[in-house]
Amino acid sequence: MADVRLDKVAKHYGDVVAVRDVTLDIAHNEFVVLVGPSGCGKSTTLRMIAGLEEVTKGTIRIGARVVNDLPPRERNISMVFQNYALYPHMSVRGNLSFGLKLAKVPREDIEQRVWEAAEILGLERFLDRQPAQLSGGERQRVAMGRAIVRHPDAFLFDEPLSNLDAKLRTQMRTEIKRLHQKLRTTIIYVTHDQLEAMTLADRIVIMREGVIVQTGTPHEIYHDPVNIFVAQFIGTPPMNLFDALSAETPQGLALQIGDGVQLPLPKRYLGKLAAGREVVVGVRADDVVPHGHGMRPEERWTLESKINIAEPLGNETLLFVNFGAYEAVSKMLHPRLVRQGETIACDVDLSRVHLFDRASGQAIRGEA
Amino acid sequence: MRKTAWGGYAWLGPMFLFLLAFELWPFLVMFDQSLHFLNYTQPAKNGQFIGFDNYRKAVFDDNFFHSIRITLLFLVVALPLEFLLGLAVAVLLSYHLWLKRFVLPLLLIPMILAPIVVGLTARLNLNPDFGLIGIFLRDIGIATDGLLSSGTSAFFTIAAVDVWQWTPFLTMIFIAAILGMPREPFEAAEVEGANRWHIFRRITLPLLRPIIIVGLLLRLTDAFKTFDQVFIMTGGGPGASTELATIFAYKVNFASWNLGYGSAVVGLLFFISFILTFVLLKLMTRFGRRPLT
Repeated sequence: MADVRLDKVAKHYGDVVAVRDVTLDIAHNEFVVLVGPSGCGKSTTLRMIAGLEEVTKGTIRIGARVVNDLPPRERNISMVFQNYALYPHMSVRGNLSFGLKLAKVPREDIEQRVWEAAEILGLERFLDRQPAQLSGGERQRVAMGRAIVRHPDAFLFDEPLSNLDAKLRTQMRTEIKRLHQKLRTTIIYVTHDQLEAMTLADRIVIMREGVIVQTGTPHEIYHDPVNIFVAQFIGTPPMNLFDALSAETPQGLALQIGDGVQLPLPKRYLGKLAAGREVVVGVRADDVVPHGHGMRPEERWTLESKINIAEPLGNETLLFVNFGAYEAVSKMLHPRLVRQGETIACDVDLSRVHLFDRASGQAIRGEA
Repeated sequence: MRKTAWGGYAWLGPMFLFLLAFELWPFLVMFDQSLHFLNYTQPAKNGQFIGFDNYRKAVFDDNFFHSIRITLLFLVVALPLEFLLGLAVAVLLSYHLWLKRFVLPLLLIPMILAPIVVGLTARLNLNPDFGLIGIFLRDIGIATDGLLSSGTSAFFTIAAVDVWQWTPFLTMIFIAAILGMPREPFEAAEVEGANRWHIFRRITLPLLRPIIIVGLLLRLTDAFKTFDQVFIMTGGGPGASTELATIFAYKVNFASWNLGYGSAVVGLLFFISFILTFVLLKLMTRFGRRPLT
């Protein structure tokens, strides 16, 4: 068990910079998820920690050791790969015990540890099977078993669930979380799926184009995104965004979002914004709710909107409604049947509206 | 349905006729000849049906047995060397992929040369009076009369030439197989504490096994038929020290013009190579049965 520290770590492939100056402290036992669109450098960062890619600049520490120049086998880490990476010619037992045999662990210990791992992951029945005889989910469990038998300092997961179908993915997600609670080990987990990141992480690290954009707990990332990219990347459906212009009105400063619709400036932004500023207004579907459907807004503002499309999901219905010159997604909890073209009163919780600078995309900081 | 099936046979037809004319027919003619007395040095008795006499004669012919022994020795010396060298070069190349660009074209050269060219090149180069290698060996006192002048050295020389020509073939199919393997199990093994030797021994080699068997099978059947380059280099000599079974068969048929007996010899060779191939194929399916993904 150990902490992992990255200090200004960079990876260049010739002229291409895959990762630039990533600094990140991962605490002992912490579950950190690196998330971002493909090509953002998250996997490369993970592979550098594993030792499968050389570090171009900066230092990586695992525990007290700088590991930059250590081969993977001397780093005492375990890795779970996207396509399982099982040894196809070995049985499940052989796969689980391979690393232990290399480490010359006594045979009784190997048997015990393999059995323990098999029990944790429900693999007892499969120990003598070949990987080809297992389903995708079972293979992924073997890959995880192979990682845990070695009692490593840290686990690295490289998109471990991407090859599984949706249902199995949800199930395995829970298993991974349970595993972390049971083993209390440092886990660094890479995914492009924001939902996985939100559900699993103690802390999320959002990357884009080789740079860390934001680090924080799932709660922080969701409720306080630092820029438009994070706001859109995290959360389903993605945050509603409207271009707006701040303007002086008899009621005070307001945000014009076209078609004569003016959103009053949320209180926390009072004094932070001058008239005539071009901003982007961001508001999540959870905070644009048809009146009477579950929300008690702290700072209510209501807009009569026409429903363009309704997507019933059972427990809730997503409504695509007119919102000034734009269309917004609204979440209707405890849904009733609605008709297309119906006009509905939507409550917006102004205290949860986000403002971003249009030119830079950065969040405009309001009072907390 | 019926129409499409016949259509299929129609497409196969030309190839079938070709095989019939150039494979099956000569084979039957050969078998027929082997049952008759047919020797152009004694034409008076030609055409007489003698049953399996030619086969009986071959089975008790010391020269024939000697040539088979030479062939098997040739296989036993050349094939393991080709296999080990081919594997070693392939694995080294897979560690240093940038070398591939330079090494692969070099490896192709021996393979694209006709065996006759290889034989002639070797013979000329090994000549102790005017061959590059021959003069060098003579001057340092290793083979003053040339490598091809004594039985033992001639035998190992023809084996060495075969190794030179055909190791690249095994290297090529091994490197192709290695590069075609998924990378992740290797990376997983690296993370799990394996060094290069462990990875080679426990991952690469087992995963290569089916390819190794196919490669050896191809080489075995091919090496069994070796004729041209050895015939050019030594003509089977000195004495009969490099007289492969193929060369023996050639001599019986086309030097002694004993076509009846020669046909029986070729028939037996066919039988032996059939058995060897059959055994290897059996081994192959036994190993190949284990699923790989």
